[in-house]
Amino acid sequence: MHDTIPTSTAETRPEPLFPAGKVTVEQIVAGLDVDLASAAKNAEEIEQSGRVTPDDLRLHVSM
Amino acid sequence: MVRDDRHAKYLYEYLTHPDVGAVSMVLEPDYVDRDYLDDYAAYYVSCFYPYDRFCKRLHFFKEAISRQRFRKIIRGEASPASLERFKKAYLGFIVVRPLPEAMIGRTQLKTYEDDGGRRQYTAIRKYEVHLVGITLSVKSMAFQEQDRAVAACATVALWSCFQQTAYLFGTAAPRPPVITADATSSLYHRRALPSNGLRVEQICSAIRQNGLDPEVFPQQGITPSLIYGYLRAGIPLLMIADVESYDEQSHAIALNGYSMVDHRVGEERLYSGPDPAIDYVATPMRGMYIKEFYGHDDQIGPFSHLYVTMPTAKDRPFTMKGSWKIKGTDVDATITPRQIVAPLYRKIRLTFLEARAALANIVLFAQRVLALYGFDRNAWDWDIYLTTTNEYKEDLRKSSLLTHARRDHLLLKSQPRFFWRCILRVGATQVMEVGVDATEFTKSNPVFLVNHFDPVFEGLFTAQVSATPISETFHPHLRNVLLREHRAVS
Repeated sequence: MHDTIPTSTAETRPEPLFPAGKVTVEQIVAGLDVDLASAAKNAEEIEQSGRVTPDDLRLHVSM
Repeated sequence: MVRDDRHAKYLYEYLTHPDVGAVSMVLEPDYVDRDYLDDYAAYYVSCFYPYDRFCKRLHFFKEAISRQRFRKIIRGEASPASLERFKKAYLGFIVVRPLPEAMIGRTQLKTYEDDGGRRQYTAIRKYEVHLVGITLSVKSMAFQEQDRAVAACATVALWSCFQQTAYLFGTAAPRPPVITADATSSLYHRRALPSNGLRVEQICSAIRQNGLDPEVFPQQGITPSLIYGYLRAGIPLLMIADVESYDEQSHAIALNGYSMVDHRVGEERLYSGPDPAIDYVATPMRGMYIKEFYGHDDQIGPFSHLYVTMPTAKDRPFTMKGSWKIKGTDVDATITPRQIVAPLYRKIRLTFLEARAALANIVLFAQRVLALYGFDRNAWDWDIYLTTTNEYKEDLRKSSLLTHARRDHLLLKSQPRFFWRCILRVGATQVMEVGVDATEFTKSNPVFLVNHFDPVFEGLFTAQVSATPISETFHPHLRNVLLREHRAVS
């Protein structure tokens, strides 16, 4: 796929980060449904953490 | 009086720091400062006390400049090389107002050196300065001390931020009396001047009146990464914080940079989660590498240091320590950020948090591959920051990570003006990159760009995408982008 190799990779780490064949497709898809549910909850939590309350907006900044 | 002024002490230390190295000064004794003149017209002229309308301006240089040499330069008798050296030695200026309690007016000083790339002053711009017919320049963010008459801390912090947003987005850079008037044009039960501080909703009103949109983020466990995400794009942020032992009021600081080190200074958290039994340590992001932020704190000085303590739980949140001391002691006071207010161009609609949430499935798919290859959370992180298509394409032109065909495709393809660039790294090596359209909104499926830099990782990542059925939490648009976008031209 690549016609160029990242210089840093070539110079500092001759062996690939992800050797081919070490992990199979069957391994990677096992248990995927369970994890997806936690990702959805995680996303919801992140979004909720940014919600502003009326008290936040009334904070007086005067020092 | 100057010797005892805390700002003067800070500025003296700042100017004599080896990274700035001021050794000489030129004084303009009767300087008409446009910012002070507006303050004067809005308030001081109508006082009984006869306030002066002239300021003094102090210019600083990092090499010795004798009176004789200075005269030669201004008369045009200096050699071109001497004039060039004079310009290169310029460090900026301080306007000294004729206000005994608030002397420090518009101040534009050079930042410290970057110390090998560690210090990043991102929310700064080039200012041209004119001194007796000579044009000098300095890269800075303008600073001034609050005077309490036309401006309290929030107003001057906004004033500093608006200097930068004017440069970035072409909006106005209003002076303090206008900011205070904009902030208090509604929602206020008392006179605007003398200024008594602003509420957060009034800060938002001033931002909106200036043609920008405010985004307010309460403190959370990933606030360092959030600040970094905006600051990296040069967008200044207003930090509303509580300072230990100053219980009665909050304080505003204009954040303008950060120091990023090569090791993690702590972990970020999600303060709460759906399952109380789980310790919600946040996905590793670049905020974990930030040792200190820099900010214009009108009670301290320009580019003041704010050393970070990472959060460990909701009741032990993200805090900082800087030059503030606990009242009556010499002990460093803890500064606890309450809110971050971002003044944003109107097309930057998707927030950092929404972009991070849009990545949730992608983060999961990537994490599963990384885990099976033995890379735990200490080995990898996501670098999420706002960028523009121009900046991205500038980077792309220099990048050797993609094929020529893919680079050409991306360079020639139109993109959103603003997007969140999200790069997954293992150590220093980029593994994949995702673009999240910042001009969109959450439900619009904003992921539009995917680049893979490792074919084995890519194969395993896309195998999961293919095996995941469409559901409420996995939209067909996202699936389509993750399967096809990076293959459009590869």
